Amino acid sequence: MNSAIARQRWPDLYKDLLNIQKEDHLDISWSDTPEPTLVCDGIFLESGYDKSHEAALQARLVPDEAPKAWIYGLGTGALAAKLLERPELKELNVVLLNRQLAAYIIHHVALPWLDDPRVHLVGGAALTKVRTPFAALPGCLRLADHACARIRDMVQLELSSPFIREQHHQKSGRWIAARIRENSTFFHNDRPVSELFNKERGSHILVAAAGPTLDQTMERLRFLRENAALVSVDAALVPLLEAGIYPDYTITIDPQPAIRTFFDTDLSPLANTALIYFPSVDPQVIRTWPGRRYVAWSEYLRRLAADSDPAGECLFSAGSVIHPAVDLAVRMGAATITLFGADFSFPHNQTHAANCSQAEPFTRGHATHTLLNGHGALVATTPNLRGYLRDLETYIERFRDHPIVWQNASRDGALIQGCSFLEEENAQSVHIHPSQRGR
Amino acid sequence: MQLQPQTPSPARPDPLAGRIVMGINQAEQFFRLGMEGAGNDALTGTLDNLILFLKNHPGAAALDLNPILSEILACQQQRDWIQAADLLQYRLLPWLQQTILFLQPSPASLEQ
Repeated sequence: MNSAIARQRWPDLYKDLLNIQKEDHLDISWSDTPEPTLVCDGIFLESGYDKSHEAALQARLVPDEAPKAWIYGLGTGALAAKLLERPELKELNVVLLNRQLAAYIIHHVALPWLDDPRVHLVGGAALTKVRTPFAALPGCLRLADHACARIRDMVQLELSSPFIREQHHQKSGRWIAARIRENSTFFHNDRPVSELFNKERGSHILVAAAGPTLDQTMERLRFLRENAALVSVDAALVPLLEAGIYPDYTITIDPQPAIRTFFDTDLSPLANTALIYFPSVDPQVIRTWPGRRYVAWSEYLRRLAADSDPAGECLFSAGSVIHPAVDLAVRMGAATITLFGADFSFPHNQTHAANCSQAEPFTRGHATHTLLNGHGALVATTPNLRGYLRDLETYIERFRDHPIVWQNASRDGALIQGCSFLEEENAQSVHIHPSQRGR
Repeated sequence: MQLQPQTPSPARPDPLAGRIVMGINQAEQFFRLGMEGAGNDALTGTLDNLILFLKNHPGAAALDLNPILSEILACQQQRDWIQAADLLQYRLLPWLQQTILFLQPSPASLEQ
């Protein structure tokens, strides 16, 4: 019955479900619980005790009067059934996150709501943003297939962000606010980052982060650097200097005292390198910088600094220093942005580029989650790094209609949606703007 | 959204018991909503309180919580949030309520 309805209502999606390559064998069974539920690879899709009660809780994420809603995950349909009890709901989009599992459910589980005209089944693989209001099935998020990993991560980010922000604020808000006050003389006297905007119009800008692949791509970076501007995140500074490469811009945002170690080197050759800092960073880092200094804000820091006259522009910031580094490149007018060491993962079982002060031995503790790399293989990561990646991809997506070329210098780190690869053979043919000075 | 404890607190609870009940309810609900970080945070705090509770009640410490806690922690390790929530709500909480949470407050608990 389900199959006939699905075939008729969503023929392309149904065909896709039938044709899916069964890459992994899913171990699907029913739980031995008071109210049996499907268990897939040991993961419960829904409560084994009271599905309806659980669905009612999950449905509370969707406002009562919402005319339209999204569910991420199919499960055995309890949440969809619960939401469809609402007469106010005119459209319910149910996103399938694991096609193989969805095919099984459609063939083996009664879904009496499937012919409800308000219901739309949607494949998760093509989705690029989280639609709201939504509720999600945690078991289905956990079991999302690789094609749906991105939307799964974005849903998880959306669900966890309020908690992460609150935790961060509770733990650090007070001392970061004190740090900003401590830095007020600096940021009132230094230049605003907006003075750098459009400084590199039409240029090729290299952004160096401190992921492990920075080591393998250093020679290509050195070659391209001859005709490109170089923005370094703070953690990549020492690895670059050790390689004899001097960035034009270095950016630092993290308030933790440990970032001092990123600058624990002879800085005197950097008199021509601009430091872009957020007012939350260690004052010693600002004080000892030998070159020009520019101040940038995040929305959060600006709120914390409301009593310190926080004038100046914000750069995009969502937890990783790569975010403002990339935003700086965009705001400076880059035509091409090439990312180095932006791995968001632990390729080659390394945590960082070799000379980064935060490099540490790779352990199983680092490998709690996985991501697809540029070769289509899985690479170990953490939820934090995965979240930073998804936020970067969302940022890049915003420029889809802009003439910016986005490139990733390595396939060994995380696959970054929206970036092509800087291949070995075309590394020399990358767009070089005629107005570029030699560097 | 504001999560509400679903299970009434014991009539004469040890003050710590109320926090344990509330923590279990919060962890369970966060897990069902897919809010892993908040759920893990609530669970960690609750387990800390539970350990403290057992320490304050030497008699209760004889009750073996290890099997159920091991199951919950295994689910946490596997990121099987729904089964973890089921274990918290339908196995750990009723068992705690029936066995130890009605114990009289210990002097140590009242000092917390």
